[in-house]
This record gives sequence, C-alpha cells and structure tokens, in this order.
Amino acid sequence: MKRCFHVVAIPIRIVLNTFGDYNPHGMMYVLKENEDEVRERVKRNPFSPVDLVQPLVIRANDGDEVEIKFENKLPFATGMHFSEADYDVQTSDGANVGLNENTLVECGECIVYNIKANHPGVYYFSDLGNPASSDQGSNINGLFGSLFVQARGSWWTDPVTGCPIKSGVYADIHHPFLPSHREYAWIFHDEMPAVDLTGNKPLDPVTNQERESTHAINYRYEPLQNRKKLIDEGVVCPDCDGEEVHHDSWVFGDPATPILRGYVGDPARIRLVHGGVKETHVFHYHVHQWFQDPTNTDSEIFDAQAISPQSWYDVNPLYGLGSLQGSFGDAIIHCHLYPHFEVGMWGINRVFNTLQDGSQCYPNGEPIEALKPLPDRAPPPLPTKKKPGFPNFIPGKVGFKAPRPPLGIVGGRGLTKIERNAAVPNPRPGAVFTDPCGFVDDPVVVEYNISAIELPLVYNREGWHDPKGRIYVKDEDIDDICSGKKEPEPLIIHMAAGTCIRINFTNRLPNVADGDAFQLVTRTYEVGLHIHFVKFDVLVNDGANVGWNYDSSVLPGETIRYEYFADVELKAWFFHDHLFANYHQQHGLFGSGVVHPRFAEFLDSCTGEEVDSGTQITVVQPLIPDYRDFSLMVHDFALIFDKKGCPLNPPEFPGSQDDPGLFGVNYKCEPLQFRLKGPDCDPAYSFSSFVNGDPVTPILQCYEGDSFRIRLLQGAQEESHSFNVHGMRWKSDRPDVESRFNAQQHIGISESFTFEIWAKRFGDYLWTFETEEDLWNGLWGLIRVFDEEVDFLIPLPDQIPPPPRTMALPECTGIPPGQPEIIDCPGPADAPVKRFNIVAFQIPIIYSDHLEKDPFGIIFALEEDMNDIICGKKNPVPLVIRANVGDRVEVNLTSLLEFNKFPFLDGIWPYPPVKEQACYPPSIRISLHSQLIDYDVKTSAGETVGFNPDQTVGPNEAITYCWYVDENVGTCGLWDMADIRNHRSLGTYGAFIAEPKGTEFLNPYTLEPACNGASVILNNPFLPVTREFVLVMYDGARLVDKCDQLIVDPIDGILLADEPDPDLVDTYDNGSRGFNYRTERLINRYVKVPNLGVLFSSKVHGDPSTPLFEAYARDPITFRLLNPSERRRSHGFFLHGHYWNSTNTDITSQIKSFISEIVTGLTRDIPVHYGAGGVLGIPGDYMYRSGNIRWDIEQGMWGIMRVHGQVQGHLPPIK
Amino acid sequence: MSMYKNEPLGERLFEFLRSKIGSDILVITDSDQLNIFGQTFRPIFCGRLNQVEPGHIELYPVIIKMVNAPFFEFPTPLCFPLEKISQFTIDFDCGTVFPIT
Amino acid sequence: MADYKYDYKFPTVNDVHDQSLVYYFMEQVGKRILIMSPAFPFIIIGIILETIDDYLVVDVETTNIAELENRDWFIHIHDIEVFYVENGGPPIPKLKDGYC
Repeated sequence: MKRCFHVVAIPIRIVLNTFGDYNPHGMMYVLKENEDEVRERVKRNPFSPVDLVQPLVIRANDGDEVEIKFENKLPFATGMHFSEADYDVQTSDGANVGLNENTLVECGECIVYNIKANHPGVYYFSDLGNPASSDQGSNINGLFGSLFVQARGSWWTDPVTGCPIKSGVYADIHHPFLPSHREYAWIFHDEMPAVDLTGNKPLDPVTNQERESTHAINYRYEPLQNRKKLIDEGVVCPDCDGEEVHHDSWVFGDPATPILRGYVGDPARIRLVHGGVKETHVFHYHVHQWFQDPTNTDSEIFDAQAISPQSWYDVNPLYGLGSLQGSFGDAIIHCHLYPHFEVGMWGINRVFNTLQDGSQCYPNGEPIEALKPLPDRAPPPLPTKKKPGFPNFIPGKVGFKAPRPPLGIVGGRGLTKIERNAAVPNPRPGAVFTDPCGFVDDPVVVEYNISAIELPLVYNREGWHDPKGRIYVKDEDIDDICSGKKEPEPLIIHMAAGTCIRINFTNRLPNVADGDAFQLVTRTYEVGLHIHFVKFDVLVNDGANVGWNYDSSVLPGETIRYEYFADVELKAWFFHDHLFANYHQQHGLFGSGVVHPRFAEFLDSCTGEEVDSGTQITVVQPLIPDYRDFSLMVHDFALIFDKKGCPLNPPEFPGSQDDPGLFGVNYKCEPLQFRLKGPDCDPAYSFSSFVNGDPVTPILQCYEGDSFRIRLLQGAQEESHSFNVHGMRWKSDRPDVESRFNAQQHIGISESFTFEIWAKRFGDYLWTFETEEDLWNGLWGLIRVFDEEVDFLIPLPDQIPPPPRTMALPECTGIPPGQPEIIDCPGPADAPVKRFNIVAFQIPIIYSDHLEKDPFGIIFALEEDMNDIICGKKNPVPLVIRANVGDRVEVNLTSLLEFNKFPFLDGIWPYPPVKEQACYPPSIRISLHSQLIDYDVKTSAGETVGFNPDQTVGPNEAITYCWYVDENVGTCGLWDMADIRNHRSLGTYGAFIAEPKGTEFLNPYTLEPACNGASVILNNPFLPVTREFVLVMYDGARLVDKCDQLIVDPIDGILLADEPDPDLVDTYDNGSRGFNYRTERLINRYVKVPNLGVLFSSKVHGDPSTPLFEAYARDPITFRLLNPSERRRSHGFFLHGHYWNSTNTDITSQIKSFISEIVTGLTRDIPVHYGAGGVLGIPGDYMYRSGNIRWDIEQGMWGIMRVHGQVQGHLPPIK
Repeated sequence: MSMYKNEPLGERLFEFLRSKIGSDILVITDSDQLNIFGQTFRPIFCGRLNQVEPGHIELYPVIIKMVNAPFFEFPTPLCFPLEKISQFTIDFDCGTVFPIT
Repeated sequence: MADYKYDYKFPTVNDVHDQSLVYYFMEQVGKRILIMSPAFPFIIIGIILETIDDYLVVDVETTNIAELENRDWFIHIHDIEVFYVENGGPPIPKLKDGYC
C-alpha cells in the first residue's frame, strides 16, 4: 500500500529537560499537521520540554510505498536521505551527489520523495544538505528521524489511548499472526549545542568548569549536575550524596528522559537508533538480553550494544519485559560510557505488575498515565489496597533516598506487611519480588563471598601504578592479595549453566576517597555489585539506586546478599559498581562471571586443583572438548602515576572527564616506549621477548591442539578499543557456524564477547588492542602455544599429552632473533603458488586533486610497479593483492626505507599525537602482517613477536612469507608491525583478498588479467561475473596542503567553524582520513564555492578524489571494506540506495545498509543485494561514506559509485 | 518386520496419540527456524492435542515459543506432520517457564 | 546381505505417515490453508486447488512477499512443517493493509 506523509523541516527551540537546558537553534522534522501546534506549544512553554518536540518517527509496513512531501523551512537547502530504502536516486536521494539531479530543496520549497520499503527495520533519515560538524550543522541540532518498517500486515496504536497514530516515538504494534508488542524509539544523539536558562554553557557544580557536551536520547537528557544542584542547595534530600542518587525517583521524581512503559511479559522492541554525529555509544539495558541479530535464532546473546552514528539495531528483549524471570520495576537503560551516562544519557524501562488505567499516582503524587494492555495478552490485575503494585508497595519516603531492600542486608530489616503481599511465596535475600532460581527444582547453588577493597595496583615493571586501586576480591583471597602473595587481577568467577548464584557482598572500601591530580575528594560511602546477563529481581538485586526501586547497594562494613540465576550457557557476564562508577570504576572496580556448559568443572591450569575463579583456568566437560578459558578486561581512564609519583596524562583539572589517564588490561600495561632494549633501540623488536623479555600483560598459555575461549570485556570507561589476535581467527557469532571468520572485534565498556579458537600450531601469537594509542601505551600480550610439556601447565585431560620437553624454554638474551631458517608452508604440497614481490619504500603520496599530500609516505607496492610510481606515472595506492582459496601465497618483501626520510627522527609526533609521547626512533625495518589466512606464526606472521624468529626485514634485505588460503575468508588487512608508531600514519597498509576457488581477476577497463588493484572484475565459471571494489578506510594521516602547510585535521576541515576550541578533539580524533590514500575534504570545495548544498555535486566541483567506482545497472557488485589504520574513533560505512546481509555468510542474517563500529583491523565483505543500482537497477551516482558528521564526512571520508545506464566507451560491460 | 506383526503400520503411535487427545503436549519440529512475516523463531510449540490423524496432529489452543513472547497464542489451530516432528512430550504444562535460547 | 534383526518391507511406517498426509490434503481441496516452511518465502496462505501426487496446488493470496501472491504455487507436501486448514475451526485471519 502507499502511505503519504507531509514532512516539514523547521527551526525550533528544543528544551532538553525540566531544568530548562535548551538548544536555541534546534531543528527538527515534523509532520505538517503538527507544525502549528508544535510551534504554539513551544512558544507557550519556553522553559519546559514539549512532548511534541521529539525526533520524527513514522511507520510503514514491509512492502509499502511511502510518499514524502518534504517542505523546507530552514534557511539553507535541506532534504531527507533515507537509509535502507529502495528509491530512484535521481528523484529521492535527499542529497545532491555527483552528477545526480539535486534532491535537496531551498527554504520555502517542496519536493516529493518516493521510497519503497522492501525489508523491515529502521529507515533512518537525516539531512545531507548541511553536513557541517560545527554547531551550525543540521544533524547536530536535531535534523534526523526514522521510518520504522514493520512486518507486512501490521497496524499500530497509541499505548495510552489505544487509538491509531500517525507518528510518535512510542506505539503498540499489532499483527494478525504475530504477538502485539510495544515499540519504543530510543534515538541516541550527541554534541547538541545546549545552554542553561541563563543562555550560558552549563557548569559542573563540583569542578565549576563547563560540563560534558550533550549526550541525549530523543531530544532529552538528565544530567547529574542539575540534580546535584538541588541537593547542594537543600531543595531535596539535604543529606543525600553520591552520583547514583541522581537516578533515584524517590528524591527527584522521574527524569525528563524516556520512560518506556509496559507490563510484565509484554513483548517489546526497542528501535535503537544513533542520530548523533560523533561518538560510538554503548547501549545497555538492565535485566534484559537480546539476540545480536534478531532474525537469526542461532545468534549470539547481547545485553550491551555499541552503536556508531546513523546506524541502528533492533533490541527485542528475550522473553519480553522483565525477562524470563518476570522481574517488574524500573530497569535503567543508558549509554554505558560513563561520562555520557553522568551527563544524562539514560532513561528507564518501567515494568508495571498492575493495570494502569490513569487513576493511580506515583508515591510523589504524580499521576501515572494510563497504559493499554496489549490486546492479545491477559491484562495485569488492578491495584488494590493490599496489593497496590509497583512502585506503591515500596516503603520509601518522597524527597529522600530510596529505601534499602528487605531481607538483603545482613542484620537488616524484614518485610513490611504490604511488601509481604507483593513478595514471592518464599522470599529470601536477593529474591523477594521475583524468584530468579524458581524455574528449577533444587538447582545447583554456588555461593561466593566477595568484597570491594582498595589497594595499590602496579601496572608494569617501570613502576606505573594506581595508588588507589579498587577491586573486587573473594574474601578468602584478601590477605594473600593485600600481602602481595597473590597478584591482583580482575575477579572472574566461573559457574555452569543452570546454577543459582548467591553472593555475600561486603563493602570494605574507605568511606572517603582522597583527591589528587585526577580527581577531587569524593565521599564513596556505598557500593554495589551490578550484574549483566544473569536473571535477577531488579527491585532488590540490581546493585543500583534507580527510579522507584530499592537502593540495592551497601554501606561501609555491611554485607548484602544477592541472588542470580544462570539459565543457559552464557558469555562472560560483566559486573561492576553502579553507585560511584564515575569515581572508582576506572580504578579497577569491575569483574566478570563466566557461565560454562552444564556439568563443566574448573581446574587450576598449573596445579589441576578445582577452582571457582581466575582469569586463566582449564575447563573439563564430559561431552565436549575440554578447553582453556582466558579472560581479558581492558580499560581506559586508568588513573596511574609513574614511579616518581607523577600523574600520567593528567586532565587539565581534577574531576575532568576529558580523557584522563592511560590504559590497562587486567590491571597491567606494557608500553612500547620501554621496549627498545636491543641494539640500535630498534622498534622492530618491541614485541620480541628475546630482546625485551616477556610482557607483564597476560600471556595466555596452552598446548598445541588445545581449544580455548577468550572472554573479552571492557571494564572502564569511555572509549572504543579494537581487539585483534594475530595468526588466529574465530567465528563472529559463536553459536552460529554460518557466521563469518573474524580476527578483530570492536569493544566498548560493558560489552562481552567470547572467541572460540583452536591452537593449531605452537608458537607465540600476538593479541592487541590495535589502535595506535592503545598499543603504544601497552595494551598487548601473547598467546603462547607450547609444543612440549611444561611443568606449569596441565595438559587438557581429553587431549593426547604433549611430548616431554626436549628443548629448554627460550630466554631473554637482549639480542634480536635470527630470521626463520626453514619456512614450513601450510597447505598441500601441490597447491598452486601465487608469488608477490613486494617492496616497501618512501615516496610522497598525493592524497587529492587539491594537491594535499603526505611528503613522507611509505607504501607497499609490487616490484614491477615501483619504477612507474617513482617516476610519477602511477600515483601510489594501497597495495591490494588477491589469491584464490586453495592457493599458496609466497610474499617476498624488500625494505628500501631510509632513516632520514622520516618526519620525526626521535619518533615524537607533535601531530597526529598519542598520549604519553616518548622517544621511539623510526625503524628502517619493515614487515607485512596478514589477518585471517593460514600460516605458521613462527615464519610468516610478518612480525617479530615473543620467542618467534625475526620476521621483519632491514634495508635492502628481503624476507619470504608463505601463506595458505585455506578458507574463503574474504578481506584480510595487511599492515606493517615493525614500527606501529612511525610507519602506519604514513601508509604502511594494504589488503589481501581471498577469492573463491577458480576465480580470475580482470582489469575492469582493459579486461586484461590483473591480480592487484582496488577495482577488478571477478570471473568464476560457477559464480556471477562480479565487479569488486576494495575500500581501504584510513585515518590518522599527516598531510600538508599544496603550500606545504601542515593540515591539522579535523580542526582545519570544519565547515562553518565556531570559535576554535583547543579541547574540542581527543588525541584519537587527530589526523586526516578517507579511502585508499585519497581524501575529499569538503572545506576545499566550500572555499571554492561557499554553498553547502553543492558540496557533493560533481557538476559544480568535479568528481571527488576518492575512488570513483563504476558499474552498469544490475551488475553484480561486492565491496571489500577494511580499516587497517590506527585511530580509536570508530567510523561507519554507508552506501546510498543499497543494502546487504549483515553477515555475508548467512543469508538469514538481518538486512542492513551500513557497517558500524569500524576501527583498526575491521574487515567486511559486502555482496550488495540486487547489484549496482539496487533492486530497481537505477543508474546514477550513489554516495559511499562514513556516518560520522563529526568528523569524517567533511574531512573527506566519502566517495561515489557511479552506475551507468548506457554503455560507456571506457568501461566494457561484463558478460 | 514389526514386533507387532498383526498390527497395521503406524497404528501404535496413532492409537497412543488418540488416547492423549485433550492433553497438553510440547512439540518441536525439524527446522532450524521458521519465519512469520519476518519474525523468526525456533519451532517449539505447546498446546492442547485436539485432533490426531494418521499423518499429522493438530494442537489447539497452541503457543508458539517465540523468544520475545514465549506464551504467544497463535490465532488458529496448528497441525504438524508426524514426519516433521523431531520430538514431543505429553502432559507438559504449557505455562512452564523455561529457557529457549 | 547382512543379517538384520528385522526384515524391512515397504511401505515403511514413514511411508504410511507421508501417504496419510497426502490423503488428508486430497480431502481438503477448496479450503483455505496456512503453511509454514523453513524454505522461502516461509509462510503461505491460500486456497487448495488440487493435489498432484505429493504436491499441493495452492492459489496463494498471502505470503511474506507481495510479488509472489495471486498465483498458483505447487508445494511439496512433505516439506510442509506446520499447517492449518480452515475446516470449521477458527478462520485464518486476513492481513489488513493498514489503517491509513
């Protein structure tokens, strides 16, 4: 059917909370029929949030045609660009790209867009007429919304009235064959310019400095700082204190941010959308879990989800609201990045257990709005005097902190009569109103005694330390840890599925935390254990102080009892403190539980004795292969000092959240600046244990043939990290054998991943958090696979025991190892061999037609191309090489690097910087590391790691690597590992593509055979002839302009820049960016023609410098996307008018039109559905780009795929 | 040859199931997942055994154990070919809460 | 030949089940049916026109995909995983095409 909407883009004052913080220059899309009312209400309520001021959410069904009449009332050309949709790019792109017709409209004009919804999901729309990242931009000020596409045959009603609705962030969705469900739009956005009632930037009442930038949901945020002022000024609860109390509705009433309302068991879908411009947030939803891919029942289970700008996820809580256990109460939903959470990026999922017909009130007298029960479910009981329902049975006192839970605190109170009426039949500590362990008769119960303690933590041999480390420990380990007998590490507890877990948790932290260069004196008088994944009663057991729930934390010296149920085998469940997380989480107060298969037993990997905790253990199970279990917990904002007591990377003022401190993994770091011990201080041996000894960071140990699981978690605090394992790989969704192989994973705080790996060959494997700043500051370690027995590692009981040791274990000698003597190549002896003679040399790289260049570029190139490149016949491009599955690949690498050609001979780069700079003179050795394919890590990993032989190569020397393409792993990143500090920014990366067996590669313009290059035709007798486009996304480049002046990106590329703010960017935002050594910075175009509306137009500016990929309509196309570069800021990838399976190897996976959370090491294969021009096969220019308005698109991270309708002389059609 | 030589093929199961008409039964069928208008689910069903035929059974009322709505009652009866059933269990309380992930 | 404990003869019990289903569908011609299958397009609703051997011919009014509707589909009976035939019981709901 056809649905019609008339949408207007208007300027609007957006009031973000009841404290009156507002954006005077807000912009929004609104339905025409609501426009006058919105304007009128805002006029009447200049200081209060207005309900109708919300991101526009409209709805349609799968298969519908949607006609949008778009009217622009903003003072610049705007439009609506829809992701996911099928449309004619000449009429409905909502942009002005390449040679297309302009589908933006000027102020006062209208245009009609026609789109078709051919798959369910979120069709995010936003403006591309004004892509400025500054405060003058459109997206940052709110010009975004979503079309939610439902299952065919759905209809939707207002949750309060039950009447049909045309738009709105909340709806109940109904269907004749499917359960009715609640649908909630949860649209994160960031950086919106906001001021307080006085028109000034809001201050933090503790530091008296400007508070963090806006991090909001649906145009609302509820900053701690506002609520704290009410306490400080005695308006509410004068004796309340602490950061978590600002989530307490007993003190403040409900927040201005979204409260998603439903009844216990209601099916629900949160449409998680990122409408912001910059940050990759982490969505976390208490109590609930969901499938990472809701269309795939074999998918991994998540309870925290990272999300980059302009992308979206469907969060369908398993078992409906309240989860399996049917927990009712307030489940907080928040961005887990703690500075964002603190500044107000949170809301509540309120799960009622009694019917709300509009006649009830909250304890503070605020009426509870009516909520229609879903029509296909029995309504909950009406509240009665004896059973008033949540929250009215809780004995709280309005204006004061929430009460502590009944029964939980040792020596504490019992149940009131009215609480007793609401309780389960057998209430007990931690399980009062819901029984998490009640599904199973007589479940296995394990009990832990855990405390939070403070102690100094030493991070490395150089004496970097946190004098006020705060960690969770088992009570029985306190003495050994505090006396130094036992090394402190994050507490990882282990249990089997089906276990009822009881925890007696004691607060042994000092009541007051002292101040220092990082933080102000803080009273941290209460602490809790907030848990993820497991089943629990949210009212009494959340380890938090949220909404109208109890405060389930505990005071100093007291013990609280918690109870959880591990229903099925789970990943590692994160636990942390929710009460003062902004103060002490980054001091180490986090841990994890791992739920193993039923009947698993846990052994100490050294002694074989049974254990119930540890970061490295051995797991035995009678029916599945025994395995090693390794946990790595990374964290940032580590507030550490050097051995002299000087703070490392202190903030400008104590209490600042502006990226203070450094990093740790399991409370350790091994910075590369201290690993220059060999002759010549050569960085090429920084990872060598022969030269520098083993790192203090975890060395994960196993025998050849063992299987193992890595539990990857992030314990603190704000930043993205990129975990990579070199020389190994895993299935991206562990439960789904159809998922793709990965060797990299983006992670944000609270996320949890399990990687199941088989240790195929002995040797030392490098694991890293691969972005430059992380690696530089020590986030790396080893996986050590032994070939012969060692006395500190028991063999896995179900494996053939390793042979007795014949060779002494290697030791640090201080001398670089030699190169491998014999290269043992995997794969059959008669496998076809592809040889690549590759040279690495220094050459200026021209990055754009605006003559922006890197005068110090280092590239990998085929030997036969080198002369053409040097004499200027060919402009350098990243090396892209290919081979087929079943091929053996022989790489002969030669270094021609010269020391004096590096920009900074001491290795200290003023730009782009990293934290904690130090001398690290450039290496003139180089190497080529490949991801995902098969090789012997001792000879062909392209890096000198642990006690492996040298695999770097010096000037005018050559080395040979041998790889075997054993699987169709698609795109593999290639990069240098000899000097990650001085080489990567200069271009030392490329791609290897594993193609299907029997594929030939042709130059798309000459149809001559061509093994390398970003654009080729793939010709395979059993597969469609396909055009392949390789996009090597990069960041962190150091460019100069045509006058040889340094370009300081992103600052120099900002359109309509406001006053320069030196603190605007983080270290990891620095550097220029784009695709394939090319960039198309919009500022150059704007300077030439100062018109925002034509920035992407080739008619005005010519084609961009970034790759212009060409195809004919309906040609099969596949994109190969990778980011082998260096910075920690995550990017996105979008292709207008096209979509694909989110897991390319699984046809049942969800269909999407983007790749999200792109950071160092990511690789993706994108076989685009329906080929070039999408399902409609429409010729035109389709933009590919990042989703980050701040600061990718305007800094040049975009390009065009040109789809021709007519045969072009220069481009032969494919068969 | 059947151990029950005098009994027509298929008769035992047929008679057994007929004797259970009116019982609640949990049925799990073959496939990895099914898909109703984009909503995917593992094929786990629970309902009242309403009718038994030589080649199939019918449940009504019947719940589809969807992960987001484990007690979703389908609007019509559902029939399951005996050859597509992987396993079933009789006298199962369809209100039982159990993990399905 | 191996010395099997049982002497297999056709039809097997599987054949009986399968054939019974074919007979059942033969009696349902003219009625509305709902079919679920793990094979694309996963759900089919329509009128049974006839059976041909172990195929069901359905005039399909509704599937996941609008483009595949309003045509006759030949459906392999033994690939049907779940079904319901309107036979005096509750009607199969009709998909609404929305309210606006």
